[in-house]
Amino acid sequence: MIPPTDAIDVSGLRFRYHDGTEALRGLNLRVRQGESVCLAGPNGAGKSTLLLCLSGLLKGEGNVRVGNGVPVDAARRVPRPSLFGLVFQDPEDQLFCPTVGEDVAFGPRNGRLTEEAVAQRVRESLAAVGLSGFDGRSAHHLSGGEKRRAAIAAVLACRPEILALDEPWANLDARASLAVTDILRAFAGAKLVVSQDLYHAAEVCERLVILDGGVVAADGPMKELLSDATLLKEHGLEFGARCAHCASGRGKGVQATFPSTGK
Amino acid sequence: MEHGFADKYSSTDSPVHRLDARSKALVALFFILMVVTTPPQHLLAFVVYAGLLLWTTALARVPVTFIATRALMVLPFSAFVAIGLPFLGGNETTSFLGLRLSVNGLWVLAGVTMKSTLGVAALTLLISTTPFSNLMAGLRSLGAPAFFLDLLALTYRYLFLLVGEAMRLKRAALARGYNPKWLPQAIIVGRLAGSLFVRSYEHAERMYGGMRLRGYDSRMPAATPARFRAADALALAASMAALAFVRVFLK
Amino acid sequence: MHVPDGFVSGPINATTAVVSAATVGFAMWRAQRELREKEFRVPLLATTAAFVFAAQMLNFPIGGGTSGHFLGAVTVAALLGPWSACLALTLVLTIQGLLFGDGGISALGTNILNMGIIGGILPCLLMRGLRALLPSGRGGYVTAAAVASWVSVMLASSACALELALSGTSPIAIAFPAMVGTHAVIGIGEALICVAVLTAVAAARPDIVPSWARLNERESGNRFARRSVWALVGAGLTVAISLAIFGSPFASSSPDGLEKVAADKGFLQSSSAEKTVWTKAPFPDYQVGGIRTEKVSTGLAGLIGTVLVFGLGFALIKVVARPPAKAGGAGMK
Repeated sequence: MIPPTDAIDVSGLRFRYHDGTEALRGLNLRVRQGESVCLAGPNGAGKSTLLLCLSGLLKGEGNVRVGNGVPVDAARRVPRPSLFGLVFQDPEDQLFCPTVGEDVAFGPRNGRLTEEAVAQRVRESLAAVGLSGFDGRSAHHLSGGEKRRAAIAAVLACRPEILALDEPWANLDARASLAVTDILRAFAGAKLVVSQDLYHAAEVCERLVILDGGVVAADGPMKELLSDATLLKEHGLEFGARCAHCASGRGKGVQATFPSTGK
Repeated sequence: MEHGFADKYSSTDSPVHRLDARSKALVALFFILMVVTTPPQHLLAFVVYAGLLLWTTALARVPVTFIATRALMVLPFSAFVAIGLPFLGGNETTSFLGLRLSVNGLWVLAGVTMKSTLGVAALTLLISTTPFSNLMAGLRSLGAPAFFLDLLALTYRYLFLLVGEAMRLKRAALARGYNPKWLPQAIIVGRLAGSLFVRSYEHAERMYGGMRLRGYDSRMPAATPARFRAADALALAASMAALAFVRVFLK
Repeated sequence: MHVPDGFVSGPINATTAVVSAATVGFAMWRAQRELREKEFRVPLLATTAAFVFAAQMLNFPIGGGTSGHFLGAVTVAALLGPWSACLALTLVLTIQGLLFGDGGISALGTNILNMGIIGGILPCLLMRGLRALLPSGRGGYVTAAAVASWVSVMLASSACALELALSGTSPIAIAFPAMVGTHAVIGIGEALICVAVLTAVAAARPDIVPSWARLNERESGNRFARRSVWALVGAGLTVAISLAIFGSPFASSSPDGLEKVAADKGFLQSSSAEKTVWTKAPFPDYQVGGIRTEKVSTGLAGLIGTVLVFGLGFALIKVVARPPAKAGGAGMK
């Protein structure tokens, strides 16, 4: 019997942008099947770059394996949609068809399914994100939360084994955030969630990986790392620290001074 | 987004909305063809064209004011290029309020004004009764090039996004005291447009990434078109016959 | 400059539609043939068209409280190449016509011809010619693009005025000064915007401007031969265009070369033919300020004719003077 492989296996991954910025500097990360991992870290830590390298849209140096050991390296190759699904931070980039229904059908149709099977997938995916009946709506008529859910539905319609999301709670109000949390909790496969929002991530992910400077700075069970306020602060994160911060008057962050505006 | 939705009535319901997109597209095209080839002297024909359009608008339950406002937006162009016609002599003249006007020029002016407003009105009605994606699917099954329709559908989607971004950029400039008065300030519009282009390019890059991750290989998948029903064929034939009759027999 | 339905006569409509359909068809074929970037071209052309549409909504002042707007054909051509520019403008005009009543559907061919082809592809030839004449490098590139932008607006508006006049819907004595005069100023705005866009894009993303990236490569290898051909084409086109635009409307009343060319090529016949077929064209009767209108429209016809002839000549040169596919092209890209 073949032992179950990791969902994601990255070793020694390096990536440098055109302008010379080194976003990833030898990163190692393994995600087991069915595991739910939150990737957090300060701005510029390389979180989004890592997702793009996993998806094959960016080609870094090093080993990247997604799923059953399929290497994501050959030029212009991306993992098949039924293996790896990536939800972008900006749903506008994911919803490119005139209607939501067509967008959700895009992946299944590319997978050469019959029209009935496509319709079935569209219904199920929209129902999974609570957007049943939105098939005929144009993406530009949707609210921010609906757009995010439609983008997730479009990726779910490909039935990926592994789901990666870039800031799924960004710019959402509380109700829309809860809806996203529920969708993610219902997804059974491995999840990799990039988020600064540890409050929401803690409800979805059991493991927290902190990236900083293009490498893994800390990796452990979510609850354990969340209780280490010093570690979080060191990497630009916070959890349950807001009130303490208010009470002490002023944090040790940037102290802004404004020049006087006298005429 | 700030740009008023051009097709905001397209997803309402009415007998006209339920007709097949192919029928409606062909009738709209035929209507425009008949209108532009009608000599301006056939005033009765124009009255009937307008009447047919109004009747269809009522059937479609689209507000007449919506269609009319859009149709009248074309008038400045007529004013700009054709308003001088009646004043420029000609053999036959008539006088109005003491002005000597060319009869021929007046006819031409009346003709282009009626034709252009009817043309815009017909298209607005088509767009207001047919969702854009249905129109694209209809044109596809009528044999329009798939590559062009793919491009058109994507353009339609990103139009609203980029217009929104353009308006935000402009507002940001206005909020910081940009008050254009002189032509050289066009360079500021240029800078806004430059950053807009970079954004549009980056949207294309990310969109392309998203398409590839969902199995895109150089062709947009298309749904199989809806069945063309007897009612659609009947509506098409009746409308075309009526329009041809008006064009040929009403003067 | 967006011509609505009913403003251009049947023959003009048909002719422009055929020319536009053929050119756009060729542009699509080229866009699909460019294998290296073919797939990315689809989203890129779409967002570029959306960009042009949005940028056209940013008005700029042209003085006297009025404002003009961006056309964008040359800017896009400088960034993505003339065929992509033609396609992007076609998409913009189709969307504007279909959804916003901006330009008629029956006049779509005319509008594509004016703004996408005459205002987009032709100025690109001029731009290439100018680049051969001007110093190499970014300065020369931007200058060439600016001049081409201005010419683009002038050519597009002249073509529009000419079509309206030949259709009998606008007296040439009004259409020409009104259209081309206004657009001479708008063209300056267009050139300024073009320069600003090119420099802004080059600063933010130098990698996305292919002609920019190739600037240095192109200067090496086979330089002299290419330069002289471009110089010839560019200089000839520039002289012809300036003569046609500024010379012909104010030319003397004696028959000139341009009129003869136009008569030979049948531009004049078409105008008299449609008088009987279509709306009764009033313009043979006009005589304003001593300028016979046939002469002006003939001059304009000559302008278009000149440009078309140069376009054909350019295409010929390009085909004939094409370097051998791989063998001799060591210095070429």
